Amino acid sequence: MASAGSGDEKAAAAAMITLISSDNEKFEVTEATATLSQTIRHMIEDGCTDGGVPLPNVTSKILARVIEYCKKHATAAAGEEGSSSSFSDAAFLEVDRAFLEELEEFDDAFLEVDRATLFDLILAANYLDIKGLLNLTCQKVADSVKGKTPEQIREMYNIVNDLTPEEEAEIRRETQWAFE
Amino acid sequence: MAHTSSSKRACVVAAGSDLLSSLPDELLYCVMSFLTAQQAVQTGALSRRWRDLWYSMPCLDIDYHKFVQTLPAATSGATMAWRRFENFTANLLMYHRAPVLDRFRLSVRWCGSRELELVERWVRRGIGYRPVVLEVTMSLASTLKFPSDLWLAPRLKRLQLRHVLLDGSFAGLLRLRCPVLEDLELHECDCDFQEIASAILKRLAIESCSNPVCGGRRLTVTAPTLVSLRLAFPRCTDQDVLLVNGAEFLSQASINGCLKFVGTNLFRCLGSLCNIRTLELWSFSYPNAKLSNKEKEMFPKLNNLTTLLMGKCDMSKQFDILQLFLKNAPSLDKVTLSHCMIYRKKGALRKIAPRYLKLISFESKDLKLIEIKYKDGNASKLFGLLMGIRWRLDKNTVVLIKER
Repeated sequence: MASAGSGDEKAAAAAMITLISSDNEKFEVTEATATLSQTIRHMIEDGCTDGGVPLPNVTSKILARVIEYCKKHATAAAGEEGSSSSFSDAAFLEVDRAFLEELEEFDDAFLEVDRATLFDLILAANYLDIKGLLNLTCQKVADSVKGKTPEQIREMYNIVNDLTPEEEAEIRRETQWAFE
Repeated sequence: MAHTSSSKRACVVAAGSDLLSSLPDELLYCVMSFLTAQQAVQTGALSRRWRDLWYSMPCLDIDYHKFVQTLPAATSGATMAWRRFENFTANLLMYHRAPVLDRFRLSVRWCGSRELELVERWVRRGIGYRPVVLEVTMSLASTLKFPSDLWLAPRLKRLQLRHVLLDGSFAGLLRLRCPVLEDLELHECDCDFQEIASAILKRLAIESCSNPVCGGRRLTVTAPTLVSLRLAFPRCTDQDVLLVNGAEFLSQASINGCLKFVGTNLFRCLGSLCNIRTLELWSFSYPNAKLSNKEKEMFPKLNNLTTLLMGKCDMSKQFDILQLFLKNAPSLDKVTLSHCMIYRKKGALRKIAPRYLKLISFESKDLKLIEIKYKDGNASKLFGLLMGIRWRLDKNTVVLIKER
């Protein structure tokens, strides 16, 4: 577990990058995997990855999960330049469909985490600037509140209602058109 | 594995802490971008943290369908749903105050002529937000004319229109007013323009669109930077689409119907697709089942083609074409025949078999996978053919997928 993605990938001629988590664990990954993160991509472009990339905002537990995601999606991105749009995940061609469905299954399984981990993943995806992972995790949160009333959402996410009854009534009145 | 971080984390994730509200605004916007506009506005009642967020959220997803769904079963018809929808949208667009949007999505699957005016106003308002992504979905019955005057879309990267009327000025709009448009999808639109010209377009999909005067019209696509192309005209067999200035970056294309286009322009078209890697031909039929030697010689080399799919084709007529592909695509590693048919009498199979034998001519030495997707029994004969030559396909895997 300590170095996710050493093994076979090391054998490949691909350039390797070392990522260092906040708790000083080292992860060796291919450049293709690492560059799914725009943050790391820019560091590579600036040539400041020698001796490893310290990621003080990401714990080893979360970094291992992020790398798992990047590995899977890097193979997807390596395929065709135009095969996956940056705007929609729907298959553009029939031949991509099976592959994208597999990717979707991976994503679904990947998201089977407790809530604290989900939010850590959101923060890590944001910090590392991995758009796909950020959208995936934010959508998971959005899906969880879909169709729920404000009361239900508060309870679900432990949101303290700090509005006075008057304020809340005012908001309800002002945006009544959204509650009909 | 080190565990030094656990104590700090334990504080943050103390039971009952509100992880959601402690996200920065931009991440809450990201979460809200996956909600309908209606529910996004409702989050304003959660707490002070949420109160003003929706006013400046950068993605608006306004969907009439959601208003129909929430109606109690007893309520009568579309008028009630429309009244709520209209009230909601008018208020949202009045109070929402982000100067620009990342995405504006408006889906109105029902509306009469009075409502059409309103919808057009909302679309204009949406365009006024200078969105990066603009998606408008209308219904079959209502023809919203896409506003052609007054607008400039300096940030628009993706435009998706469904059931929208596009007049002759649309070509000019694309060329002159959308300086960064990369992605254009037109579904079931009424197209009254003859040209798509863009120096920056990367992805283009035109599906089931119709010309008011079907046939005799030609749609010219000039898009030298195109990477992906999907054309589907299953209903209109006369549609003639012409790719000019050979899209040399085009790496994947799917063509469905467009018989005239494919029939008359196939060879010339393929010749210009020198970098094509993935090609799908649906309901494809070349006019002459028997190809002359001259035609065979004209077939261009497709050195980069790795994946070929022929879907819903009558293979008894298209074997020659398939054979030509196999001969001229040395890098091919996957051929898929999806829902193909053989409309021949029983005896004819034996006639095809030897030809099919030659067809796997070992020009394509890397061919590893032959995939046959079929419904009912219509591909079993084809499978029989393949089994007949199984001994020659030593490196190949044949996969049969039965689809419903």
